[in-house]
Formats: sequence, structure tokens, C-alpha cells
Amino acid sequence: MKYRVENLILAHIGVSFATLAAAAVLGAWQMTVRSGIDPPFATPETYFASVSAHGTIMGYVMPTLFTMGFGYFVAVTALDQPLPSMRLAWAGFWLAAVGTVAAIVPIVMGKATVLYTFYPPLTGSVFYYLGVLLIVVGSWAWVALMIWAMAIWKRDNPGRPVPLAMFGTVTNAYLWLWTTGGVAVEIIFQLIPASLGWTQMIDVGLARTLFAWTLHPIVYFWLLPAYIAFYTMAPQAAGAPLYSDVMGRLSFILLLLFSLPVGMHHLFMDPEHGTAFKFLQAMLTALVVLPTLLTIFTISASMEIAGRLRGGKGLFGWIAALPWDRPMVLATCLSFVLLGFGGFGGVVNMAYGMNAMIHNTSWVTAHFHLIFGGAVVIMYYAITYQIWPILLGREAADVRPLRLQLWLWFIGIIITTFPWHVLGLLGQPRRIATFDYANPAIAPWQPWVFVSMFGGYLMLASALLFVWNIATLYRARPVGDNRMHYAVAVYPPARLPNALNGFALWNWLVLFLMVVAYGYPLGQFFLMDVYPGLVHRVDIGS
Amino acid sequence: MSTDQDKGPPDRRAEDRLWRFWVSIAAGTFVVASLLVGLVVLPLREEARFDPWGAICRAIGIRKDAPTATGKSSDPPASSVTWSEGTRLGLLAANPASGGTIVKDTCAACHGEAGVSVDPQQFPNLAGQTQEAIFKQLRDFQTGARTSDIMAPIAQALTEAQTKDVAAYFAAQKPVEAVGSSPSVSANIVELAHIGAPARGIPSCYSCHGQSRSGPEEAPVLFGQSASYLEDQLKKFASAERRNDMFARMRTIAKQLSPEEMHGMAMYYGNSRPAKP
Repeated sequence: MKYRVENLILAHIGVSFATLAAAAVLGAWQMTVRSGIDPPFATPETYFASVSAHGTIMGYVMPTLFTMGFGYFVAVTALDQPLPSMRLAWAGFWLAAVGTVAAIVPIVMGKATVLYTFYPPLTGSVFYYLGVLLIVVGSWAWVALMIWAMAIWKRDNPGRPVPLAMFGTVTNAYLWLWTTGGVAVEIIFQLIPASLGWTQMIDVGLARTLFAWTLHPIVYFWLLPAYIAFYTMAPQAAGAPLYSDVMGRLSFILLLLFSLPVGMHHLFMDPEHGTAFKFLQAMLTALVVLPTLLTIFTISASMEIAGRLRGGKGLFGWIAALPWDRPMVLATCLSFVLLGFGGFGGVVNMAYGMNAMIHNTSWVTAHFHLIFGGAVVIMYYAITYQIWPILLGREAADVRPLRLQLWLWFIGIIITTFPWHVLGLLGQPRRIATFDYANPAIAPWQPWVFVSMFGGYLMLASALLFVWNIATLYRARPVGDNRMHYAVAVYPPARLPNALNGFALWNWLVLFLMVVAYGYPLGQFFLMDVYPGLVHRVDIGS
Repeated sequence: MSTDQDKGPPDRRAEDRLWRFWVSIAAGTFVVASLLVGLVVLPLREEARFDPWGAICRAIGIRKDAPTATGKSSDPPASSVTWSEGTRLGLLAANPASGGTIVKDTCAACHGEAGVSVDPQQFPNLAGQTQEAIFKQLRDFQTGARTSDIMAPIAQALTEAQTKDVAAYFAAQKPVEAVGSSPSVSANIVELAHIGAPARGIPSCYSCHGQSRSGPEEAPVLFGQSASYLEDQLKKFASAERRNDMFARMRTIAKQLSPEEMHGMAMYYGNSRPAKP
């Protein structure tokens, strides 16, 4: 590549997927424990430690490092300019890498079995919180670099539209900066003092609210690389232009706006908030269907153009004419299917009344595995299949193992999560280590858990095949031309209003929405008498 | 790369203003409308009486009379009964036959030998009432958690084992058929019983007093009691004259009910027949 960023990107995405492989093993083991089979090492302590490690990796480490690496890739390829500071980028990487080790070691030692949501009054080793904080701080270096790179490009290219892929990436950088605010405050001012023994009481309502601030938009931070690929990589892979560039920008902006002031829908059943702000945030949550539907429409339209260009005829003939052998096209379709099912589940979650029915049940875990593990991670694979060969300057001779891996993941996630949803409706609680299926009241659950476990092993097989696919690339034949080509719109915008080419207006709007949505719900903890919980430390050994 | 022709036309500032204007209008309208509905309209619909200020306060969680609002738990414990393993095993081991003997001597004059009260407006029917409910009330009369000039001395004469036996005896009797015709109860009373009023923090009566008995152990069966007895108890819970409900559950619920709702609820339970399980 032109700007010598290969190692930086490979380091980020490599560490990301190395941790994913480890977490996939833990995931399959956890499903086995839940099924009632007694696998080796199964005790409640090891189970919850494993869940903590799985969640910390899949929530904080894997997607963050992937998004950082992908962002650096987009910044140099879409803008065609070097990164503003390689030193800062590497500093961010090492902070995140050290943070990962610092977070995982206490979990393995059994001193931070607090799950990745770390709801107090549970508290674990201070190194765990410091580790998570380091990952966040490392990612802030990436945020700075993305904003900086776009500023340089706009200075050098006045009046020209920022390439869509970079516009999406910088949207994600701002989104992440806003997102991390809540959890950073919680870690710094509540969890770390408590874990060091400086405080004996902790305001659990405040902690849960701060975490909810982060917990929803973090999902959109994970999701945005997939959306960037939908708009800028999938149509190109299908051999067609993008139907509309402006639709992409609008979708990214709407995702920024309606991912942030909505986290209280995680607290519908919580007693520390009145109904008014829960209702407001539920309404704002509902608006997130707008960018989703815009995207499904625009990408389907782009795909239709591709299918017709390839000779597809009739109402649906263009679908069969699409180049399904290309991993990016296949993954986009599979991701849309998963996104559709996951979206329906999400509507149940955000509906105040229906939420009561599935709150704290397996339904919720099934939902976020379907959306994130399914719709999003399958796009991470597809993106990696596209950019890793470019980074290596090599090309896979045979894409059949790649397609097999994507299909395995798709089928695996469906077999895992669909019965899991059913279990939630049957009332199976989440965050429970073992179930006594000899009890006739819950005996009917077991067959569903077995099916779900089988899906988990399919996903594990798929994850390992992915690692194998990447490893074999290193011995693939070199290619001469390894430039990246992004999809260009049918009518590329020659000029855009500032609102669609920058973020000033939107950041002000996010600030307004956040003040309205969280001002009182957070302020009440300081205005009213509150009842903090006694700190409960899980690392009894120290 | 960049040329002058790419630069925006001179009216770019006007364009920015237009975006700012319409984005503010759209976001502002949406937020104001949502807040209006969530803060005023919906809570007001759930109020028993028209009280906009009370509705807004409750919607943001600062109701003055909310049990948590005082911040103090100065109240003495509502009851000394706990549903421990010992209590449960004791109830299982109770002897209804010896309970029957005690009932003939001490309880039958008011509650009837088969648990059918001689004056249901004053003395509740006990036939078919749950063992847990009768045991808990007897214990509360013994400890003074529930006050009654008549029941206190009678209950205090019994040992704990005897209270369990008596409870087992009444629980084993055939329940009273509901009395009278079924008067029409308004739809909102039926809804209160079946669904509750979530926004007022009132769970459905059925969630504890229903056939499935999924509620707390001591929750009694309500069908088959006289309406005036039930209304009287609701009023006593509302005024906190009766205070032996654990965690102030019934006091919290009852004081939110309007007098008409209390009357309606009492009529609903007092004069309806229980559904066949």
C-alpha cells in the first residue's frame, strides 16, 4: 500500500480476531454448561468468570480494535493521504493492548467476576476497571486521528464532499466519543474508588444510568463499520454504483442522533426513574428505524441495479443474477436477514409494555447475540476478507472456504439465538450459571438449550475456519494491483451542504438531546436523597 | 485536486441557516410532543382524579407520599412472621383434626364450625382460605401486629402449633359459594383487578390474590368474603389503621385507590363467583 499503514491495521484487526477466537471457545463452553451437561471445570464461579471474559472481549476489545483498524484503513484509502500521526495511532494501539491484558488477567484469576456490564454493588479488582479504561483511552487516540484526518482533507479539498466511507467513519468516531462518556464517568468516579476501598457505598441507580448512557450507543459503534461496508463496499462488490450517496450520509447522521439519547430503554423496569423520561427515550429509540429502513432501501436498490446490469430480468430475476460467489455480496444479504429478525426483537425490547415480559430473560441475550454476533460480526468477516488481501498484497485462490465460513456463521447464529429467544419467552432468566432440569417446572427448557448449544458449536467452527482462512492467505499468490475501490454513487454529489459534509450541527443536536433525555434523570441523583448500596467486593481473596 | 468550481456558491451561509432552522424545528417538536405525552397526558390518564401537578411529579418520580420519599424506615416491622423453612415444615406437619377440636370450642361461635361465618360483614369466612393466610393473621393477632379487641385474647391463648392446626382445619373446609347476585361492576374496576394501573404503581389484584397463588404466601383468597368486610379492610389499609401487611404492600396500594374504587373492588370480590380453576 501507498502509506505504509499495513502493520498498524494488521495489528489492530489481528488482535481483535485473536481475542474473538478465544471468546468463541468460551462461548461454546458456556452454552454447554447451561445445557445441563457437566463439562470440565464447570462451577458457578468459573461460569461467571467465563461470561465476564467473553463479554469483556466481545463488548470492549474485539469490536473496538476492529473498528479502529478499519477506520485507519478507510482514512488512508478513501482520503488517499497518510495518517496525521502514526505515533499517536501506535500509542492508542498499545494502550488498548495493555488494557486488554490488564482486564483479562484479573478475570482469569477470579478477581473480577462482575460480567462486562459490571453493575455495582458488585466490584472486582481495580486492574480490571483500569484495563477497560485503558482500552477506552486508547480508542480516543483513534477518535482524534479520524477527526484530524478529515479536517486535513477538508482543508486540502475545500468545498468537496468528504468520501462517504470516511464520513461514516468520522460519524462513528464522534458517536464513540459521546458513547464512552457515561461509562468513563462511572469507572473513574464510582467503580475505581469503590474497588480500591476508598468508598463503602455506591449509588447503584446512578451507576446503572451512566452505564445505560453507554450501553445502547456502544451497539451502534459496533454496527457502523457494517453500515459503512453496506454503503461503500457491497455495491462495488456486486458490480454496481451506490444508489444514493446522500441517503448514506443521512443514515449515518441519524444513527449518531438516535443511538445516544435512548439508553434508558435498558432501565424500563428500574425503580430509580419515573415514567416520563423512560417514555421520551422510548420515543427516541423508535426513530432508529429511520436509518435502518433508509439503508435497507438504498442497498437493495443498489443491488437491483447490479442485478439488472448483470442481465437479471423481471420483478425478482435480478436477485438470482447477483454475484453470490463474492463473500461481500453474500455477507450483506445474510446480514440483512439477521438484521431483520433482530430488528423485530428490538421493537419488542423498546416497547415499554412488552419489555416487562422479556426483561432479564434469555430473550435479551439472544437478541444482542443475533444483532451483534450475527448481523454485525458477519460483516466484520466480510470486510476482513476484502481488506486483508489488500494489506498483504495477496489474493485467495479459492473463495469457497470463505463462503462456507459465512454460511456456517449465519446458520450457527440462527440455531443459537432462535431457541434462545423462545427460552426467554418461556421465562428462562439470564445471568444464571446452572439449571436443574430435573425440576419438572423447567424440564421443558432443556431441548431448546441443546439446540442452542449445537448452534454455538457451529459458530465456534466458523470462527476457527475464519482464522484458518486468514492464515492461508499468507501463502496465497501475490497480486500486482492492490488498491481499494469504494462504491461511487450513481450521481456522485458535486457539492453538499455543510450539514451533510460535517458534524458541527449534529454534535450540537446530540448535546441538546442528551441534556433533555439525561439532564433530569442524572440530575435527580444529586438533587434528591438517594439510597446507595453497600459495596460488595467479589475478590474476597485479596 | 480541488478547483474553484467545486467551491460552494455564495449563499452557503443561508443554506446552513435553513438546515439549522428546520433541524431545530423537527427535533424540538418531537421532543416537546414526546415530553407532553410522557410527562402529562399519559400520567394524567392514570390518575383517579384530575391533578396535573401530581401527575407530572409522579411521572418524574417525586411523589410526596411515595413510601421511599421520606427516606426513613421508622415504622416497626409489619409482622414477625417469616416464610422460613421452619414455618413451612410446621405448616406441613399441622394436624387438621386437632385443629377442628379447637375450632369447635373457640372459633365456631363467630366463624362457624365449617368456616362459614355467622355474620360475614363482621367476621370473615375462613372455609377454604389458605393455611398460610390464616396462620399469618393468627400470629399477627398474637404479637399485636394486627389489633382487634376480640381476636387478640383468643389468638393469644393458642400455642404456635395450635394456630397451625386451626389454619389447616379451615383451609380444608369447602369454600363458601359467593353470595347474592352479581351486580354490574364498572369496566375500570375489572381492569384494576386484572391488569392493575402500572403507571400508579398498582399491580393487578390477581397477581397476588389470583387462582394461581403466585403472590406472597400470606395473600388471602378474596372471593367469598362479604363486600363490606373487604371495603372496611381496604379503608383500614389506606389509613394505615391496619398495618400488618409485609413491606406495606397493601397500604401502598390502598392509599392510591379512590373511595369509589375501594367500593368497586369490594363489590367485585365480594359478590362474584370465583372462576373454575
